[in-house]
Amino acid sequence: MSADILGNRTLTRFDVLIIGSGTGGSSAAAILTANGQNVLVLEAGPNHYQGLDDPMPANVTTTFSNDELKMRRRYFIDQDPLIEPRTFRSNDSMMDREITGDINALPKCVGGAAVHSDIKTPRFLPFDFELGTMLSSVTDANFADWPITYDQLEPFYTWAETTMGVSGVDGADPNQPRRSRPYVMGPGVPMYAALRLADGARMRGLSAFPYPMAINSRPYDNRPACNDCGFCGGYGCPTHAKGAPAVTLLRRALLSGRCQLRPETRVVRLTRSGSGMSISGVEAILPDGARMTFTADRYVLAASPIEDARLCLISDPGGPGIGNSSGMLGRNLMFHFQTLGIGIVEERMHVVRSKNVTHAITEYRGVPNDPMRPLGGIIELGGPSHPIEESFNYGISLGAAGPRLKALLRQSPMRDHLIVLTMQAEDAPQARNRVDLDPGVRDYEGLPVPRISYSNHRFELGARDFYSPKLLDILQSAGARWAFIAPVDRPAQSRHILGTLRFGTDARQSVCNGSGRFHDVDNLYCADGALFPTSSGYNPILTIVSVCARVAGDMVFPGSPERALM
Amino acid sequence: MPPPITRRVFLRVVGTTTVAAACSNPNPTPDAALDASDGMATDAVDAVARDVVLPDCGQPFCSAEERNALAAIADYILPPDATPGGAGLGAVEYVEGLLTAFDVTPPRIWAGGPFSGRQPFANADGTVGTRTPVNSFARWLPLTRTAERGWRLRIYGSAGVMGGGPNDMLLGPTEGLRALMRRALMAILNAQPGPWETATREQMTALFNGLPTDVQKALKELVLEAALAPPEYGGNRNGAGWSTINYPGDTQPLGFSLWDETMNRYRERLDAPVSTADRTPDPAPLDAETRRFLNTLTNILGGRVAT
Repeated sequence: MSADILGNRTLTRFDVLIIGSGTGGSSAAAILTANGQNVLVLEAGPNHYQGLDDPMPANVTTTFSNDELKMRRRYFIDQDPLIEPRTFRSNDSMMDREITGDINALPKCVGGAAVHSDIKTPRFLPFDFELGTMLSSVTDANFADWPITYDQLEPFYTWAETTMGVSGVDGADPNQPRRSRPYVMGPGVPMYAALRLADGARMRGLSAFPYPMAINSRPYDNRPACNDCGFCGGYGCPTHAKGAPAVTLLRRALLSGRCQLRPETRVVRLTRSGSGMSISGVEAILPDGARMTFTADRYVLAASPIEDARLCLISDPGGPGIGNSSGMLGRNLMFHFQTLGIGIVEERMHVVRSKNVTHAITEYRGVPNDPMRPLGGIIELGGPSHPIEESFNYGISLGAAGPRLKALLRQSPMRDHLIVLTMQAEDAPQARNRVDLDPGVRDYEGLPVPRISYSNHRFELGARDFYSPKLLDILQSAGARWAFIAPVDRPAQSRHILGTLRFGTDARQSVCNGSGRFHDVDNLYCADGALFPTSSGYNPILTIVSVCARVAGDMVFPGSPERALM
Repeated sequence: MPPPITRRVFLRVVGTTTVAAACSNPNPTPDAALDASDGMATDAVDAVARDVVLPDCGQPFCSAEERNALAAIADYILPPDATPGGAGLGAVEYVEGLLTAFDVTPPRIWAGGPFSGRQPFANADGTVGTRTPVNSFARWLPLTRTAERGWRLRIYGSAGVMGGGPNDMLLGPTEGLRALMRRALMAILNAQPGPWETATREQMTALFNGLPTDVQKALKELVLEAALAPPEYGGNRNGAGWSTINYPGDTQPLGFSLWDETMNRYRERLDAPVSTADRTPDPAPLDAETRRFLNTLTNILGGRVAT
């Protein structure tokens, strides 16, 4: 791990400054540098790679490892809630906070949230971009059309799949949207648990298919084939077989000679010009604690939806927040509404020898306004992997100790015998679900922490009620002796965080315009999932990469962003 | 993200004393005791032991008396049988290693990576190779300024770091692990029923259940981490924690699906298949008590139990 500057260290003047090196920031950096822009990327977290800017692929190494303690318990990639807590309340008009601690924290390091992802990359469906029109009758919700269509995004989907190396099977998904190119590689080795679940799904008339994912099923782009080490979701990849944005998109930018990356450089304030209509610089805390101001012609927020909103609010003390003439800044926060269908089977599933998920079902994504097929989401077929978390379930949650605890660990009913269905369902946007600044709780730098106000809408609760029995049916058909639903609602456990700076054509209802630029600020853009007006029911990473590539393309070729791909 | 059954999720799922009681049995049935005595894989233990460099624990945190007390508690949580208990797995060394993490530079918080050297590289033809990487787990990684601040606060508490915690005034000071462990050891020694060697399980249960709830939780977390974390952290001695539960531990750079460059296809390991069922018998099938627990859990949650 090193705080050394990466990329072109001689650059001193920048066209674009990107705050955050995660999925959106890396995508934007790749497009901008490929089109002649000099880019400075400031990343608040550490760099766990070595040689990320080295032209020799063999020199790119990492300290990510098959280490559950380091990766899942000791905050190697995640922010530490002891000094960087967040707060939560379930109603934005009630008490200051209900919970203080780890609330929807994403990895905070070079590569961002995608470091922990197993990079499942389904595309959204064409209707996902039109739900404002289609679901306008849903009361107390704030569905909105996207300012772009599926067809406008399709070239960027193709670019993203090619750059990150997405595997899949064309035509296997019965709901597959139009594709201009096939997947760049076939699927990897299927996991036994997912095959069992796929059999169960087929017995119920459903079509389970290999999950599209940016994990190499053969050597690709100077990265090796995945060897199914079993430490995938929640873990950084030790071999770079995962096409994480850091080793695909960000590395591409760093090798261009037009990009400089500064890890452990935390932006704490945007400064505005005298008129307030543009950003004049950013104030950042350096690895040694000193403060420094960085400048560029244009600025891109790519620090994750919660942190983007927080930064706009912190930068306007006593005011409504930068770019908030609409009053929408921080609002319409969404998570995918996850429902876990848990099955326990007699035999061992050895998920520890695989990715966490290898197959999917899309029939439960549903159809807008069809009461017989309400909008749910894609179903992930897989299981959990590692024993420390499992042991806490027995030892602490259930209070087991002694011979019984040891027997449970050996038998592993809640790990090695589990088959799990996870529905990533549409989360109805609501203005009251939002990020603001906690009035009392501070982080280690003395800055107000983000406060999440969030509760579910009957829209997604109804979908859960509708689909839960069907999940149990699949589990039983797959051979589960015990099957139950494990809802997780408060606070939401999802790390798919979307909204807060939604883009749209109406400046009264959105924070950014269709190009990702703030309506109120001439040179400030957003490039991450904060832009999403609706959540869809599909994993968001590929759409984040694609939307942010389009935002960057539009910065270079206004009105013709696809030219940036040529 | 995959669908981890996190403890918070699990707590919501099983937030009932009925289920907890069904699981937590201080007087195991003969079935459970019998079950707890098998499942050892000595070959795996030997393989894990190779190249492991245990941490230098520096100045010990505990006195000899305190170490004995901690060892007794570790063995209460995870008792020895045909396989080591919590103490035999190195729980005391693990705990002391963490509590004195900052006695060495870099501190003993994050083991290095990417590979431990316990597994070989695959050959180009998709077979298991013989060449192994160096053990980079054995080197501690430096902390960032931010991470050091967090870990010093976690270990030393608000009273032990300059400026305290960020929210001491609002939420109260943070008690560090060292202070918590001092409190725990004092309570354990005050309640010691007699020589640890002769204490009965009933006496130990009474002692443990009499400890403050936060102390019980911390002790269990630390002992379980010690048992199941990579051996470089000081516990899981010789990988015996992993082999006891038939868990492979870290598997890179070999993994389980080996790419055959000569044929452009994958080969699965016959001894550990990915896409098919295991060919070997289950070393620890679900016993009657576990089945009763799962029945109770499923019924409480409104789930379905197949007949």
